[in-house]
Amino acid sequence: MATSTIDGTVEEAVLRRRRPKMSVYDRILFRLDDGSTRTWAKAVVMNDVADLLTPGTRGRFYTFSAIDHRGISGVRTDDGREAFGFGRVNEYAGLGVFISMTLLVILQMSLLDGVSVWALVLAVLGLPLFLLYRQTRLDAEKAFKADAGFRPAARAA
Amino acid sequence: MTTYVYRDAAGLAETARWALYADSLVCAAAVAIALVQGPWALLYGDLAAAFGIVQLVTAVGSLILFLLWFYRANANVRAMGADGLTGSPGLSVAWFFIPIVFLFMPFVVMRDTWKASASPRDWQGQPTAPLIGFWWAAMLATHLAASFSFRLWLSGDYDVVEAVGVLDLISNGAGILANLLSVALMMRIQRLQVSPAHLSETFR
Repeated sequence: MATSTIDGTVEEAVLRRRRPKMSVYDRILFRLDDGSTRTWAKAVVMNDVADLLTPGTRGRFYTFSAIDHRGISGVRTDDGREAFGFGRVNEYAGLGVFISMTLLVILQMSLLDGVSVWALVLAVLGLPLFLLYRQTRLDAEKAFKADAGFRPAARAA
Repeated sequence: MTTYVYRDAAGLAETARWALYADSLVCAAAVAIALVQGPWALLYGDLAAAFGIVQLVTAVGSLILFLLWFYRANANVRAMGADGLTGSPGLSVAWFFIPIVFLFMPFVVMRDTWKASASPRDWQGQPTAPLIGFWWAAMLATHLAASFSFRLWLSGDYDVVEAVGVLDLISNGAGILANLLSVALMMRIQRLQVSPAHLSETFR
């Protein structure tokens, strides 16, 4: 849906929970070079990226949003470290819903001579959900790769 | 990347406001008729057909105008520099009509539009206004009650007239509240979008 970048310094990163592969932040507050702030709320971050999101980290942060799901997909710091990660749980969930509900509709049509409206609606919603998250992931990967070799300017002394 | 241009939505908001007031009046009349003459009056009475058409026209008309305003308000916050918003202005309106998703996404996009109007460049750090929750609860009550009432009425069973009447009463009562909250929401967002503080933040 939407990817963008933030150039600045992590001022605050309030972790809500950390799981084996990903972390969820209540908010991540960035201080931009012009002194203004930018908040990324309820952010989902893969742990490779989350490990670099400590207060004081300066660099370029790659953000994404899809439906009501937001996060940081990548980071390049001014000291040369970089990480990228994008969870695929929602993408797989959309595909799973689409396939299982389509199969259910086919079974109902062939065996029961009737179709559940809920199964039909979920089958119709599952496909765009899958495509939406897939496209967001591809956009995020593309944005990160497009900046390959980029090194954010170090903080002025 | 799409570029959005800020366009004043005051005229649209004003038109939508009067349309919502008109729909509220029609809802209030429906409540009064149902309470005075009973649930039969609006289903099988002499005025039933004409009143039904008037109610349909005001409800659909006010919804269209409200969504036209919402499209513009959502496009405006993007023009004011808000990024990371869900989808596009068109999709923000489309959520109102997509099955299942319409139960929660209109709340999400309205909440984000409010926050982005308050502070376009750092909208995610803004608190959620309670008014949006009340507005969405009233909208859901209105549409769910109307939907159940319509399904019951389609059954054509005379035994359910009482239940249809009660559901219509709930739908119309909640409709008045939803319309008034829509007006409050619209006017607040309008004020936020044109306030000098935010315009200076936008165009600094």
